Amino acid sequence: MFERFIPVLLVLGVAGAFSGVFLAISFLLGPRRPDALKDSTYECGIPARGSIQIRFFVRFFLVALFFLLFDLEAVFLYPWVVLYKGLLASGAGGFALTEMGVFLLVLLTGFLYVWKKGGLEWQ
Amino acid sequence: MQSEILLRWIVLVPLLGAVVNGLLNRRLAKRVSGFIACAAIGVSFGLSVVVFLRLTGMDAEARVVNDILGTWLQIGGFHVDIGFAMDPLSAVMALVVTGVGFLIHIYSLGYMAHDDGFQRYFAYLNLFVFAMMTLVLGENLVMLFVGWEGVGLCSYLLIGFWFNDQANASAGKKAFIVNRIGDFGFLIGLFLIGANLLPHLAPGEGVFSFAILQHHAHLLAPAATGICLLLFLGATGKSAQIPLYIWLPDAMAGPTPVSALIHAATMVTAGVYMIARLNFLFVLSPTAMAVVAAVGAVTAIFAATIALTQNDIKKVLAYSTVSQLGYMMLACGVGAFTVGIFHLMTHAFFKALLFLGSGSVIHAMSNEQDMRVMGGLRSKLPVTYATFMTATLAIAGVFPLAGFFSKDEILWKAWESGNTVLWAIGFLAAGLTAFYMMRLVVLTFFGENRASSEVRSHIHESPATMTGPLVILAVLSVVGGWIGWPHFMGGGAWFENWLAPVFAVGEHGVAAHGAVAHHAADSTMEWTLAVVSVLWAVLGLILGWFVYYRRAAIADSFRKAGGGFVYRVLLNKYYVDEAYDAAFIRPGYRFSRQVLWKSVDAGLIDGLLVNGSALVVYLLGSVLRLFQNGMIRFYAWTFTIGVAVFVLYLSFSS
Amino acid sequence: MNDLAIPDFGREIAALLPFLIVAGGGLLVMVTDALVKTLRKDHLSYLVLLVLLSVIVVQTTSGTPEGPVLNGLLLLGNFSRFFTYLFVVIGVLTTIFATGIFDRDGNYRPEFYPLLLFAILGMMVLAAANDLLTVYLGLETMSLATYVLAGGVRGNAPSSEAGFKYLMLGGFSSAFFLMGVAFVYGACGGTGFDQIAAALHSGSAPMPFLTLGTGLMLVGFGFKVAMVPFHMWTPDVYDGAPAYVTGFMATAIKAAGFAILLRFVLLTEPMLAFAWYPVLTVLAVLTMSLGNIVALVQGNIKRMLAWSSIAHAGYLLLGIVAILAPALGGPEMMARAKGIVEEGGAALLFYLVGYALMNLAAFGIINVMGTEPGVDGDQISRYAGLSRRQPVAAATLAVAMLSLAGIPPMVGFMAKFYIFSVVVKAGLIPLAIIGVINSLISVYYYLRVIVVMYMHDTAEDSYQGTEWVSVAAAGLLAFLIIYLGVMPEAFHRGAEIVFRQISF
Repeated sequence: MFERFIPVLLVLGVAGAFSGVFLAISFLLGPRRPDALKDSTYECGIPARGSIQIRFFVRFFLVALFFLLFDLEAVFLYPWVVLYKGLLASGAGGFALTEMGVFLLVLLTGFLYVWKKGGLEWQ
Repeated sequence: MQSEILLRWIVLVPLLGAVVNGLLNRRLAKRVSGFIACAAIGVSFGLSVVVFLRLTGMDAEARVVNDILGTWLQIGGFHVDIGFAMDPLSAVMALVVTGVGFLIHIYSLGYMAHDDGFQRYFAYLNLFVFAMMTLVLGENLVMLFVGWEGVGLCSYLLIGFWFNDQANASAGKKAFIVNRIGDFGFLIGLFLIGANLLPHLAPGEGVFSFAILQHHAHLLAPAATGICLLLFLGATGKSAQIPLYIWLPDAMAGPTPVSALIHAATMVTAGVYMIARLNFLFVLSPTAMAVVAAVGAVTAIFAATIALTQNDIKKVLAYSTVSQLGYMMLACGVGAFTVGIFHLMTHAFFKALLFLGSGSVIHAMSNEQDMRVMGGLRSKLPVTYATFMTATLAIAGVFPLAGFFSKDEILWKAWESGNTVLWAIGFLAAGLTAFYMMRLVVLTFFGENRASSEVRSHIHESPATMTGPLVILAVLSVVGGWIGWPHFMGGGAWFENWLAPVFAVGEHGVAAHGAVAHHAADSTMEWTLAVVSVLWAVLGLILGWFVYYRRAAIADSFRKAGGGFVYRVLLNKYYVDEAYDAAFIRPGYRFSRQVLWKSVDAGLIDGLLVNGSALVVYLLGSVLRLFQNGMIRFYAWTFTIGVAVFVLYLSFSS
Repeated sequence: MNDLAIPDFGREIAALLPFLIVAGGGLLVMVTDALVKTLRKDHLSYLVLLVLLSVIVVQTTSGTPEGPVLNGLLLLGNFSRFFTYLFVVIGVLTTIFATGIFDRDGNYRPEFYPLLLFAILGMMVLAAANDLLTVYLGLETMSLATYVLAGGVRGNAPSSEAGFKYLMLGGFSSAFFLMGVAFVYGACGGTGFDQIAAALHSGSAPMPFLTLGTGLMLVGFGFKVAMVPFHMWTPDVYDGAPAYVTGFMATAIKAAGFAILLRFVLLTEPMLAFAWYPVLTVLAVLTMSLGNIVALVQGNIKRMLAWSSIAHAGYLLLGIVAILAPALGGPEMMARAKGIVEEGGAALLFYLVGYALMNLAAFGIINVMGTEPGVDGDQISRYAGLSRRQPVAAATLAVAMLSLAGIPPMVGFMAKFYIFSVVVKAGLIPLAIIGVINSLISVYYYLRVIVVMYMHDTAEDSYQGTEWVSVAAAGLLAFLIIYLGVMPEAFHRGAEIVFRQISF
C-alpha cells in the first residue's frame, strides 16, 4: 500500500534536489568579497542600530491576536456561502441560517467583551 | 431482644460514646464525659455477657450468633457483608476486651482527672473499643481488617496523646508506620485468598466470611504457606514480634492506662486472635506453623533478656508484654490454639494489672518512671503493692494463680509437640520472667526510697477509682486461670471444652497432617513438668529477691566484672534500634547532608528520619526531584524523548 | 456534498441542552461582567451556580435523548451524563472556593467565571465525544480555558509561570495528538469512532499507521492525566496556580482525561491490546512509583499533592491495564473477560469520583490557608497546630489525607480496593503487589501533614479568619468521603450500570 506514496516521495526528492543544486551552484560560482557593511544585519536598507532582541509593547500582540481571531472567523463564512444554495434546495436552509446566526452571535459576544473590557484602546 | 440485634449494639455503643465525646469535647463537663465513656463500655460489656450466656445455653456445635447488617461490597462474584458473629472464640475475646476495657476506663477517671485533654482522651478510648470490637466480632476477614486498621489508628492517636513532646509524636508515628509494613503483608495475603478462592465459589458466597473460608479451606492448600506467612507478617506487626516489635517499647510514651488497655491487654493480642481465628488455614501449612512457633519462642526469650536490665518501669513491662506475646505465638505455632487464647486471657488480667499498678506508682511518684529513684513504696501504697505482687506471682507462674495454668499448658504443649528446643527456650524465658519481675518489685517497693524529698512528700495512695479496678483485676489474676484447671490435676478443663468447636478442625488438623508428632497423654510427665516449672519460677523469684534486695552489691559487681558487656548489650536492647539506625538511617543522613544539602530541606529530614525503612525511598526521591528543575526546555526534551521511545517501541512491536 | 443528513431539530436541541446551557451561560456571564457596571463581587458567582444547577436540573428531570447526535459527533448516554454530573459538581465547589478567596483577597478576577464554564463545556464534550474531531475540540476548549485559569493571578510570578509552562507544553502535546489523529484518519479512512471501529474489526487498517497514530494520541491523553513521562508540567503548574484552580485541574481534568482514555482504549482494544498492554503496564508502574517517591521529599503541600496526583494516575492506569488483560489471555480468560472489563470500568469511575472528593476537600482547605492576598500558604510547616486553631479545617484535611493514603473506612480505601481486586482478578498479582507497596509508601507523606497539624506547636495564623463557606463545603466533602467509604456499594453498582453502556 506504500506504492501510493511514491509520487509524493518523488516530488520531495525533486524539490530537495533542485534547491540543493541551486544553492550549491551559487555557492561555488558566486564571487565573495565581504566587508564590514556587507556583514552587518540587513534591516530594510536602514542602518542597523541596537540589539535585535528588543521587547515589543504588549499591545502589538494583543491587536495582532484580535486581528487573527476575527479575520479567521470571517473565513468560515466562505464555505458556508458556497454550500448555502445547495442546503436551501434540500430544505435545510433554515437550519443552516440559524447555525450561522448562532456562530455570528458568539463572535459578536466576544467582540463586545473585548470592547467593553478596554482591549481595543491604545494607551 | 434478639441476640442477633444485640450483637451490633455491642460494637456500636462505644462508637456512640466516642462520637458524643468527640463532638462536644470541651463543652462537656469532665464528670459527664467520663460517665458517658464508662457507661458506653459498661453497656457493651453487659450485652456481651448476655449474648455469652445465651451461647452457653446452646448446643456445643451450634454456638454461633450472626448479625448481618447488609451487603457491603458486591463485585461480580465477589461478595462481602457488613456483619458480626459471636462464637465461643469471639465471645472470650469480647468479654476480655469489654471487661478489662471497662475497668481501665474506670481507672482512667482517676488517672486522667487533671489532664486538659480529658474528653479527647475518652473519645479516643471509646473509639478504640469500637474498632477492637469490630475486629473481634467481624464476621469476615475484611471486617477484621477494618477493625485492625482502626485499632492501629487509635493506638497512634493515643501514643501521641501528649503530642507537645516531640518524642511522643514520633513514637506514635513509628508505631503506625511499622504496623503498616505488617498490614502490607496482611493485605497481600487477603488478595491471595481472594484470587485463589473466588473462581470456586457459588454466587452470593462471601469469599472472606470465616464460615465460608473454613468450608473451602482445602482449596487454598496449594497457596497456604505463602498466604499464612503473609498474614503472619501482619501479626508480627500488630503483636510486636520479631522483627517488627520495635514500636511497642516506644509506644509506652502514651498515658499508662492506654498502655494497659491497648499495648498489653487487647490490641497487641489481635495478631494472636487472627491466627487462632484462621487456625484451619494455618494448619494447612506445616512450614508456616513452624515459623510461627519459632518466631514466638525466640521473641519470648529475646524480649525477656532485654527486660532484665531496663530501668524504666514501663519499659520493663513493655518488653515483658513482647515476651508473653511470644508465648502465645509459640502456642499457636505448635497447634495449641486453645492454650494460646487461654494465655491471652490470663495475660490480659495480670498484665493490665501490672500496667495499672505501675500507673499508680508513677502517679504517686509525680510522673517519675525511673525505678532507680523509687523504692520503699510498699508501706506508702499498700493496695498497689498487694495487687502488684499478686500480678507478679501470676505472671511468674506460681500455682495456683492464673499465669501458672496458661503458661504451664503452653510449655506442656511445646514439649508434647516433640520439639524440646522450643520447650527449653520457653522454660528458660519463664525463669527470666520471674527474675525480672522480682527485680521490678524489689526496686520499686522495697528498700529505701531514693527519690528527692520534694517528690517523697507527695507520695500518696491513689483514689478509689484507681485502686478499685486494681483489686478486681487482682482477683481475676488469681481465679482467672481456674476455668482451665487441667485434667491431669483433676480439673474439668472447662475453657478447653468451650473453645473445642472452634478449633476442632485446627487442632485435629495438626495431628492428622502429622505436622507434629503426637505423644500419648502422659500424666506423669505432665505432673513432673508442672512441678519443675513452678519450682523454676520460684527459684527465679528468690534469685531476683536475693540479688536485688539482700545482696544488692552482687548485681553491681556482676556489672563491673565480665558481665559488663552482656549488661550493656541488654541495657541497649541488643542495639537493634541502633542497628536499624546504622543500616538505614545514618548513611542516608550523611548522604543527604553532604550531597543533597542544598536541595533538601533539613527540617524534612528530621521529620522523616524517624522512619528508618523509608530512607532508601526517600533518597531516591531526593535524587529524582532534581530532574524537576523548572526548565521548560528540559521538560519538552523529556517529553520528546518519551514520545520517541514510545513510538519506536510501537513500531517494533507491530 | 449533500450527504449531510438533516437532523431532527427538536431532538438535537433537547439532547444538547446541557451543553447549550453551559455554553450560553458562559457567554452570558461574560457579557454581564462586561456590561453591568454595578456588579458586586459575588454576583457573578451566583450566576455561575445558577447555570450549573440548571444543568443538573435539566439533565435529571428531562429525559434527554440518548444515542448519537450531531451526525454522530457526540454520543450521549449514561456515560456522558455521569461525567457531566461529576464536572458540574466539581465546578460548583470550585466556584465556592474561588469566590471565598476573591471576597477575602480583593484580588478579584471576574474572567475566572466564564473560563470555568468553558472548561467544563470542553470536558463535557470530551466525555461525550464520538469522533476524533470532537475529541480534539473538547480537549482544546478545556485546555485553553485552563491555561488562562492557571496563569490568571495577575502580578503573581509563579502563577504566570504556571500558565505559561502549561500553555507551552500543552501546545506541544496537542501537536502530537493532532499528528496522531491524522495518522489514524489515514489508516481508517474516517475520524468517527464508528468508522474506526469498523476499520479495526475488518482488519483493513494498515498496522504501522494505526499503532503510530493511536500511540501519538495516547501521548496527548497521557499529558492531560499526568502520566509519566509526560508529567513534568504537573508539579510546577499545580504549585504555581492558585489553589482553587489546582483543585479543579487535579480532579476535573483528570476525570475528563480518563473518560476519553477509557473510551479510546475500549475502542481500539480489539486490535491494539497487544501493543497497549505492555506499554501501559510499564507506564502505570513508573507513574505510580515516581509519583509516590518524589512526593516523599516535598515540603510544599501543593507540590506534594501534584506528585500524589501523578501517583493516583498510576493507580487508575492499573485499572485500564486490567481491562486490557483479558483480550490477551487464553480462552479461559476470554470467558471472564466481560466481567473483568465491566468491573474494571466501574472501579475506574468509582475511583475518579472518590479521588475528586478527597482532592477537592484537600484543596478547599489549602485554599483558605493563604499567607497574604494572592499567595497560598503552601508550606506544610504552616499547618502546624491547625487542629487547635481551626479544628474543622484540620479534621477535614486529615480525612482527605487518610483517604488519599487509602486507609479504611475512607473512600480512598474502597477505590483502591476495587481497582486492586480487579487487577488481581485479571491475574496480574505482581502489579497488585506493586500497587500496594506504593500505597504503603504514600502513607508516609500523607501522614506527615496530619502529624504536623495535630502534633506540632502552633505556627502563625493565616492572615485572616476562616472562610466558613469554603470550610463548610470541604467539610461536607469529608463527610461524603467517609460515607462512600462505609457504604460504597450502591454507588459502585451505579458505576457498573453507567459503564456497561459504553463497553458494548
